[in-house]
Amino acid sequence: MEVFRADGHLTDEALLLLIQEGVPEELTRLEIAEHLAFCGECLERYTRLLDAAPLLTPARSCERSLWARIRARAIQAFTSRYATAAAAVFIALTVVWGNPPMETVREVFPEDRPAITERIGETLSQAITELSDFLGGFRSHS
Amino acid sequence: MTREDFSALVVQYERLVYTICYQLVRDAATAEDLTQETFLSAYLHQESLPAGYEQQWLGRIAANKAKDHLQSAWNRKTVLPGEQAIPVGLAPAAEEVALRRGAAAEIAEAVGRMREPYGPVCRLCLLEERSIEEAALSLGRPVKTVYTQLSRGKRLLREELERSGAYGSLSR
Repeated sequence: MEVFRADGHLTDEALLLLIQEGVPEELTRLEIAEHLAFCGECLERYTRLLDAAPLLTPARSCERSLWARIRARAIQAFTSRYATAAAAVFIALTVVWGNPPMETVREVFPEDRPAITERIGETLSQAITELSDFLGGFRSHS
Repeated sequence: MTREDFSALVVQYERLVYTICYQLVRDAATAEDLTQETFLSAYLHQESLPAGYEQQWLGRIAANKAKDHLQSAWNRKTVLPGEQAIPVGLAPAAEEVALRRGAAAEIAEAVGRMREPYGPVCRLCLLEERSIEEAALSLGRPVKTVYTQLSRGKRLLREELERSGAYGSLSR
């Protein structure tokens, strides 16, 4: 079986055999998948052939478990972002209030403290709001 | 896209995506996993979904997922234990070993006989000494794809040269 035409695109024979599950060699299937992954023309020919063929049905639908994975991914991203923010706040507080006063910074920090405190408050408030919105958004899917 | 819209997309295209994955990997459980991976990627990159081309877009992601799975399986099968530990820069490439043995004409002939998709890649990178990026541009293929095709092509070339028996073992 010729998998590729002389112009580098997949042959009709290869696409038809793929649909009829008649491509046993793993390397050949890898080569076809590799080509379909970047070639819009062959992918369109393949999906057009699939339109006329009976589609397979998975034993288990992925929809429910998909939302659980999306949720887990979102929680991971959320916690990672705010863990970084919390670490930054901790370092900032350590620098602002933890160090003994130095001559060069004494004139600046007292003025900055209210602004920093305000920003930390805003960040925490935003985090709580986002967490609450985020968890609320998933209630319909849990 | 709202969650409801995305759920509708999953319901509409789940069978198509599963079929593509199954026809490429030929294993039901793996195809189910890849189907889920496809929709997870689609959800995470939904901003790049071209309106009206959902089928093509999901088909491409599914083909990519199947390709990655088959590539990993192929690497596990073909890379011998300890082979990966040899630093690439320290071991001469098989075609270099053969070239040092004065086999340039035979190498060129063997490359000329190579089938798609390896022939053009090996011709550009090994005979015309083009970089992978230049070959990718010339062939209209992604750089990563050309890289893996060149790697697989070299392996096939080495096997072909070893089979011919004229150059002894070319293994690293």
